[in-house]
Amino acid sequence: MSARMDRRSFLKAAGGTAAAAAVGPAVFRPRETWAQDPRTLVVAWDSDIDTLDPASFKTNGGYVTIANICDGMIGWKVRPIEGQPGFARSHPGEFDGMLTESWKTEDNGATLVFRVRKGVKFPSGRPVTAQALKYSFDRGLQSPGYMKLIFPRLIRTTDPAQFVVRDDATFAIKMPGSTPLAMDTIALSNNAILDPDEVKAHATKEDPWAAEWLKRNPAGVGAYRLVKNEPGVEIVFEAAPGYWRPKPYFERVVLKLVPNEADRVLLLKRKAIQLVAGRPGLSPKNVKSLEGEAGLKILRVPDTICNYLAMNQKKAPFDNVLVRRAVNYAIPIQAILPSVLYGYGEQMTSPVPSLTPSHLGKYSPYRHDIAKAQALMKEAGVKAPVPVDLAIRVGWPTHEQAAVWIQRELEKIGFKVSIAKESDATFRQVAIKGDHTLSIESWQSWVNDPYYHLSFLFDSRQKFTNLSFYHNDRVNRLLDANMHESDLAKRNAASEEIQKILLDDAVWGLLWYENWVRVMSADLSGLEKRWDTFERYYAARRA
Amino acid sequence: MGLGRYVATRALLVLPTLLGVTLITFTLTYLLPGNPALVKAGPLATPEHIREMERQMGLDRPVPVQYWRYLSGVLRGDFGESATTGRPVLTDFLQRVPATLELTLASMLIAIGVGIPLGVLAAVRRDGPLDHVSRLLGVGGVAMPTFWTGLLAVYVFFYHLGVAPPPLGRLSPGVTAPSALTGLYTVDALLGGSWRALGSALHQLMLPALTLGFSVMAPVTRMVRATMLEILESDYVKAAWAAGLPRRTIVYGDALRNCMIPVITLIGVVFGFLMAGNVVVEIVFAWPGIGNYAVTSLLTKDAAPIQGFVLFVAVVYVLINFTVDVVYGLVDPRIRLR
Repeated sequence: MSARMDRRSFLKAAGGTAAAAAVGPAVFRPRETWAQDPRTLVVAWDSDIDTLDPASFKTNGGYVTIANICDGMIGWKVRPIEGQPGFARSHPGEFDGMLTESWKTEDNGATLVFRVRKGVKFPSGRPVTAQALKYSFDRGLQSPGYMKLIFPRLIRTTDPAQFVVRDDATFAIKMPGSTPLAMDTIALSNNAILDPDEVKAHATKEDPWAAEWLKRNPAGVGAYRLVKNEPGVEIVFEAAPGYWRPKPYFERVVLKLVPNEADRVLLLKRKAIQLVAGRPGLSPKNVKSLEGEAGLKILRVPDTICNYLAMNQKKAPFDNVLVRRAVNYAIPIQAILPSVLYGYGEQMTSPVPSLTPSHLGKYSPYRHDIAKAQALMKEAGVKAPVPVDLAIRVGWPTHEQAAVWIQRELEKIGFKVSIAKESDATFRQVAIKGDHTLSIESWQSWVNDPYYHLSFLFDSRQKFTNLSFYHNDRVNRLLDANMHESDLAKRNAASEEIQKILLDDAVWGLLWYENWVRVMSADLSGLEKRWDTFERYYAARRA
Repeated sequence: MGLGRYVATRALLVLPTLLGVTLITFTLTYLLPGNPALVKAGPLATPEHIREMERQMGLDRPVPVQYWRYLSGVLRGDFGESATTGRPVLTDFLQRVPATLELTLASMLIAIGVGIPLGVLAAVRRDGPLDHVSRLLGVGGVAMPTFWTGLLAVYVFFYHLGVAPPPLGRLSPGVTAPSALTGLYTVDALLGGSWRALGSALHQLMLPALTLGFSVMAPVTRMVRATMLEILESDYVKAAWAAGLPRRTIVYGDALRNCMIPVITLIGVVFGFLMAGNVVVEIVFAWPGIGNYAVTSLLTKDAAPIQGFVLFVAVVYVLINFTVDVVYGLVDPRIRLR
């Protein structure tokens, strides 16, 4: 036998298989792969829909879907962003009518009265009435989701009788007194209006609010309708026929689940997608690398996301205010902003975000000053080295990198820092149990109100969100007294007082406020940033 | 022992193994840190709300009761519900297992189709150019992690050359999935005569299958080469050469058949590894398989899918071992006699 024969047999066996597997598909390549319908928007996305029940969804996929397929009574108004033509964002206290066209207050603000928009119909053909509004709020208050925890606190309602139908077109919410939190709370997509007949038709004795049916079935009216939900693959919206506003520019929006960030970058560059959304979407490092890339543009908007160092006050040495102040002087924020965030974030100057009313931006004395930090540690009388675990979440690149910077500086003032990486679920459980000593936390208030924000994070009675385990009776009293205060000047002054106390007590290690960043094809415009961060694609368009 | 009895004995041994597997699955997820009720209750929940969730999920019951509930659920086909997709775990699995299976089969086809002939030729033409090529591929396939080869493949073939489709799952945008019979898009498209879907499915499959196939081919080639070398030196092969039998008969008839036992074992192990372990490739290519699903569930401590996944992998391994045992019995009658 000759060597020629060997090659031939090898080619037959191996080449044949390889050709079938590899070359064949390239020949069969469907032509429409690259065809892009100009009225279809393809978005790289990162999360599935857990349920379509507005009162109980938790995933970002659930939120963005409800926000696009189910309108609420009102929405956050957006106005153009200066210097970023074609884009818009919300401003505190400004709302648009959605399924209601006007509203007014009665009884010194204790009663909110809404006028239902005329001529709006659910997909079933039934009209949107005040009865539907009441049913949706009754359902929020009584169904298994988490809105029943929100309503008593934020819109002061505990009884369905407080949701009143005056006539087919007039709906009222009767509260024991006014509250500045009401309109923002009502604007949450959790209060999307559902078609009562549709929901009731699927209720059972065990499940009177049809939560099980609503997991997979939408029952509201919105600019889009959900036409496909394939977990792990894609979520597809199509423009809903007969919507009360003019049709959106994009007839179809495809949210493609792309778990790998490097792929998102390549897909954007090759124009296989037009936008990267979701959280984290793209890390600041990758966004930076795309700056100036032909055919792409970057939208960057300040946001209310707070990233902070949580110091557990139930544990030594963070029960000592001097140590907490020392930590604040040791945080190398001026290095973290350019090296970790690549400029896509701002230095935190108060626990209340810079976009939130009453933000106190000038009071904080903390800046990077190792000598001062060392002096404070000495004054605190802490014996160095202090071993401490710095807990962070896996898959949060900015936290991972910032942790290394913080570790290096804290070691200069007498700590011996080990970085502990934990999965999201573990991190949260350990945090709630109070077992983290030092950790990097992130928080965003969807209701852009200082009291909503402060009460979750600093009220000692909030066991699950006050992760510094901070306790200050004066702060608790100020929160209680001003939560629903209608005199805004008085309310804001109290918020400023709380912020001063928190800064003096150095409750948080102040890190940064994150920017909201979207990278997209250069011809895309009309994106709107609302307080909850989730896009409504209604106004998006190609320039 | 007859073949029938041999198979029956093996099959009986599978049952206690599976029971043990459910116990381990349950214990493992029970011991993992992270409370599933917290995941389900969401970030704004109060302690009372979480206790209510625990009650609903049966987490407040004694551990043996929880295990019994789990086991009886599994026997009824109820694997619980995923907190991230809101669907029964079984539904999610039925959607995702075919994706993983299709990718695994395609990469096995490449690994075996190329790996076995290459190993044989490398052994026959020892130290020749083909042997060097096989060594290079072998070292490369083992040394380069799949996430790296995958990303490299995406970068070169999709981004630069534009011959591969975007790494966006199993079908190009706008192509309708063929009607589901097996769940394997290529097979379903062939059966249904949907050529557009077939082209799209093969095209999407190309890069991930090559990436995985490349990494799996390496051990197959090395194993075949080593075993072949040993067998080619054995007395009966020498006798065959001396008797003047044709080369093809000796190499592909006698030697290759005898070298198949360790190769079958390896293929079994590799198949199990691929069904469970191509997580990385699935993530790089946004391939909606079970690996991708398991990672998402693990990060969120979504208990039911994790239990389902571990159980699934264990069952796959048990079945593969069972199949390999049976195939041994067929290939080598001596094994049955022991």
